Amino acid sequence: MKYRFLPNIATADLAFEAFGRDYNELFENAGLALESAMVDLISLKAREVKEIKLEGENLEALLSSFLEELVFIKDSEQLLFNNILCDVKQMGGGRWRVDAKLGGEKIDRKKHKLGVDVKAVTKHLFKIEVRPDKTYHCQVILDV
Amino acid sequence: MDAKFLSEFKEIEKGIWDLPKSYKLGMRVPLRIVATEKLLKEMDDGAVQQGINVSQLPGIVGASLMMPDAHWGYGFPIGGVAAFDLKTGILSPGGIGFDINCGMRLLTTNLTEEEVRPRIVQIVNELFDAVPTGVGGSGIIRLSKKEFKDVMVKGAAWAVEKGLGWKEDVLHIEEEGSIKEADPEAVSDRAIARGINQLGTLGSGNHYLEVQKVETIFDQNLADELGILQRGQVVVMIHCGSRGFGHQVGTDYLNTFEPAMKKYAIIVPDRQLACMPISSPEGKEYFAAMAAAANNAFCNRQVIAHKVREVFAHVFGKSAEDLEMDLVYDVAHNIAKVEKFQIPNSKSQINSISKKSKTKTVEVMVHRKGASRSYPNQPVILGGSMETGSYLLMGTEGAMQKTFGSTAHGSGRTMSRTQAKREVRGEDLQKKMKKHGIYVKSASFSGLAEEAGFAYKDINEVVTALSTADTSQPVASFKPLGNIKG
Repeated sequence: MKYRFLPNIATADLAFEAFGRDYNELFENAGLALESAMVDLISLKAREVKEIKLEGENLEALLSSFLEELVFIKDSEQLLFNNILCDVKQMGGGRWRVDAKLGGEKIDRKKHKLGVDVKAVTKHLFKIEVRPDKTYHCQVILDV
Repeated sequence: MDAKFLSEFKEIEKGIWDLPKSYKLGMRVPLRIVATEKLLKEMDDGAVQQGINVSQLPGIVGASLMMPDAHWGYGFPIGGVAAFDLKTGILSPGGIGFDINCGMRLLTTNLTEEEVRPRIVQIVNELFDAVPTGVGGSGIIRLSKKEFKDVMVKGAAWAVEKGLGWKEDVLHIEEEGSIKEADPEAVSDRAIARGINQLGTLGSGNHYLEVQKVETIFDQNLADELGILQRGQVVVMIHCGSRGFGHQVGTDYLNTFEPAMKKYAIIVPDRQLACMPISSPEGKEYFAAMAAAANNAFCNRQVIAHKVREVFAHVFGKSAEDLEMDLVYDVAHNIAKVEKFQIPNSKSQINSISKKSKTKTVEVMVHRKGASRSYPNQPVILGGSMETGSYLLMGTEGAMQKTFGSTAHGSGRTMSRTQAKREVRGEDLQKKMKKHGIYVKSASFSGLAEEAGFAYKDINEVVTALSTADTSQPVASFKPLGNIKG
């Protein structure tokens, strides 16, 4: 499973968990979970590619800013993505970095099956962990 | 609520329930919930826990308050009210919400249900074209950065100056549609980039623009004063906020507040409660940015109201003035403001909040997150679910004494969005509503399903709770005829 939405957390908002075999996949799937809240990913075509690079003082902060960046691009450039490739690396001093390639297109309410507008990525019950079975896991609550 | 937990609450006066601060180490004030017994029992534990978290924040005054429509949010509960001492207290973006100055606006018309119903499809379709809705949603108004900064300072008055409103509109808006402390310099370029193209857009989630009819009038005199004259009269309700601009302001400051808390030795029980002393440079800067976002939201609702007037004028071939499309009121429900109240002088007065005892005047920073201001003679607009209807109430002296001039904001969710979508398909809900005489147009069928009536508390019960505790009193109720959603 890449991600799933959780019905019993934060009544008015939208909680999801995402999984991956490594941090790259975890970031990709968390990104797709967020995009899938806003649009049916199948109705979207990867016509435009955008590259972003972000740094964070730890992994949690990096995942937060990565998701926040997707929300930012949705409003500032009107772009939604259904193709996400991430390269997550640890740098010196405990800092982390992600280089991401995003494929998607401009919002068109006639063409796309839209979902709900994500306002923000909250820090409430925010979690990122490597489980004993080596699955990489995160839990995020979106304000919608 | 868990039965054992519930037994810790005591009804200190009719409709007001206290969990004493002795309940948990670290609580500085009691948790106080305005509710009927039924709503208290149904209150979710997650929300109550969040209310307890708020009671632990530095400088909180009186009580951590929850309104009857409260539910589990992030940081503060939604439906949470808390006032903080200006010297020792804090300001928290989590006590306001990312959607700064999300709020409600109500317009009258002199049309009746009989005149509007035959044209409801045309009205809703034209509204849907005039007011962009849904994900991203950019508007038709193109602004330069300088103009956008003017919006941040002037709020609703900016729109009126540009001919997108009537002069008297601003007299019927909380703070007259402009908070003076707003400073565009406190706002990031990212926030501007997110919001500059979104003026006059509705957004999505629970935001809506609804054509309604008056169903019941509870207080004819007050209703008359507010332009609500008879049953069947048609009104228009708008629910939306500061869009991407406000959301980014919230995001920016939450991110800077979290690491900065160390400097002020503030420890909070939930990361989403990150806060700064009100008197600190960081606190002041956030307040100035928040006020800029709040003004943007007042302006956003003003522009949307103008579009509504244009659509009605077009459909009915009369001017909006002739249709008497007056603004009843515009009230914020996600905001923090400096306000003055009389509170009991002695700390031992907790059990007699509304009895006449010696009082003192305090100036506090009131956070209202999913709660409306409710001053005496000020209209309060309670948005219900799109299936069940909404209310117009009047603020009371009771609210001044008991809830820092605050009351509820809507009916409050009881079911998560994810669960609601499992229960009903948007397409089926649209058909069902059409059968009940409500024409809905939405940018998103899944978004529509999330807003189904069964996902919300019973708004009548919420109003009963408000009326019993006297934090506001009902004037009229409304039922939807048509609705556009994001």
